[in-house]
This record gives sequence, structure tokens and C-alpha cells, in this order.
Amino acid sequence: MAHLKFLKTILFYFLLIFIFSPQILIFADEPEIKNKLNLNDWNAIISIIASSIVALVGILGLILGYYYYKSRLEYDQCNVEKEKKRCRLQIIFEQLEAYNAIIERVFILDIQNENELTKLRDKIERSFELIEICLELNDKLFNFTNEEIKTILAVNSFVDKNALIMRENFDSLSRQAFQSIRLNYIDKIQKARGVCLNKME
Amino acid sequence: MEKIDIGKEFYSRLTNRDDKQRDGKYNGIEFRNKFLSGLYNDKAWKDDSVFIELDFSNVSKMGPSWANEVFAYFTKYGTPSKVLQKIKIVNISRVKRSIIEQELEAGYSKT
Repeated sequence: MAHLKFLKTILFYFLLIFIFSPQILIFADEPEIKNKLNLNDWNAIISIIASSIVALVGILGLILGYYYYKSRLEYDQCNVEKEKKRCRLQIIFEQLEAYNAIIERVFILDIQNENELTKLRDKIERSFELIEICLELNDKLFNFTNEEIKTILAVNSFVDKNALIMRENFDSLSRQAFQSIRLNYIDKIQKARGVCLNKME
Repeated sequence: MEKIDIGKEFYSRLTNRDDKQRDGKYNGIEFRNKFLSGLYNDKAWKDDSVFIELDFSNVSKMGPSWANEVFAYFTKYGTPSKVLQKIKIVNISRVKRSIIEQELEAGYSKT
């Protein structure tokens, strides 16, 4: 509203100086003023009209310039927001990939001993925590629906509650035991990836 | 109605289901027995009054196993919406609320 008031003030003074003042002088009922201006002098009339047109064009240029500036600002801000959103989604996507890489190691038993298994399980928990933090901090930016958030969370819900992946001792693990779990897990992580990729513009 | 600030009165990181998961500390079973034991009977679920209000403002992390043990356990007494009616959750982020809702929808499960 402040900028509109400013424009109105500029417009008023322009009109006062370039358009109304000559008109007031012409139609003033003062003999001295009438004598100074020769109404039959077409040059004077043309110059008044020309100055009025120039003033109007100038004002129009100012208004158009202002609206161009405003539109350009909104367009640039919109692009900045889009880029910010894309970068943050990229973080979630990359963290999902890191999380997946760790779980794949458990599935193929690329582990030497109980100690290494404990460290991997700790990593699994930490890496998904980062995804949750990113989702919480950027909730308004991403504008995920509740269903989309639950699709992403479903991956960790499955993994965290799965005894074979997160609780059983190293000695009781086998690739065979992981086979059916793996398919279920892959389905969930693919859906989570899909949600992230869908939001990237 | 009792009001509990979970982060201050229990713990800020809620990850373990029971004493066998990770370090076993501050687990879901312990929380349930300490604060929600009043809901361990059908009589407590007959009316629609709020039994307890859980404040999550000081909770930094909540895992699905803990949420399943604390909330989904009660789906044997009522529907997910009934559970959330009896156990009111406040000052919680959309992500953490989604974790709870997801566990309620999935049902009580230890595997």
C-alpha cells in the first residue's frame, strides 16, 4: 500500500507541474495573464499539448517500469524457492541412498562380526534420523501430503521393527532368511524414492 | 487428566521398544507401564474422556518401534482414532505425528 501511495503522490505533482499549471494560466481571468499568452498563437497551444503528452508518457513509463520491477522480483524469488526446494529434496534423496546402501550390506551379510553389525545398525538409525530432521525443518517448503510423508517413513518403520535386520545376533543371520524381507523392503524404498523424485521440479 | 512432558519426565530420545533393543533404556514398555497402566482394562475405554496428555515439545527423536509399543499396543482396546482420543498428543511435529499414526494403522507388531 505504501508504494501505491508514493506513486499517487508522484503522479499528482507531475500532473500539477506539466498539465494543470498551463491550463490554469490559459483560463485565468486576469487581463495581465491573458495579455502575456496569445491564444491565437498555435505554437503555444501545440507546445502545451506536446508537454502534456510527454508528461503522460513519462508517468506511464514510470508505472510500467515499477510493475516490471515487481514482477521480476517475484519471478526471481520464485526461482530461488524452487532451487532451495530442489537442493533440500536432493539431500533427502541422497540420504535415502546412503541408508539403502547400509541395509543392502546387512542383506548380503557384508559383515565380519557382531561388533560391525552393531555399528551398521547404529548407522541405519542415524542416517534415517537425518531424513526425519530434514522433513521436519522443511515441512512448509516441501509441502508433502500426509500420505507422502508416511510413504517415506514406512521404510524405516519396516526396518526398525524387523528383528532380523535390527535385533538378531550375527550368528543367527543368513541370506536365505533375508530373501522375503528384502523384496518387501525394496518395494517400500522404491515408493519413497518416487515421492522425492515426484516433488523435484 | 494427567499431563506429561515426555522429554523432561521420561527421556528426549525414544527409540527402544523393550530392554532387548539397543541399550534397552527408556523403552516403550517402561513408558507404558509407568504412565499408561491405567488404560490396561476395557473399563477405561468405555467413555470418550482424555486419559492423559503427552507433550512432545522436548522430544528430539521418536522411533517407530517405541511408537508401536506405546500406542499401537492399545489397538486391542479401540480403533486408532479412539487411542488418540484417550491419549492426547500435543506440541508434536507433523513427522512425529505421522510416525504415531502409521504405527496405529499398522497395528501392534513385534516383528
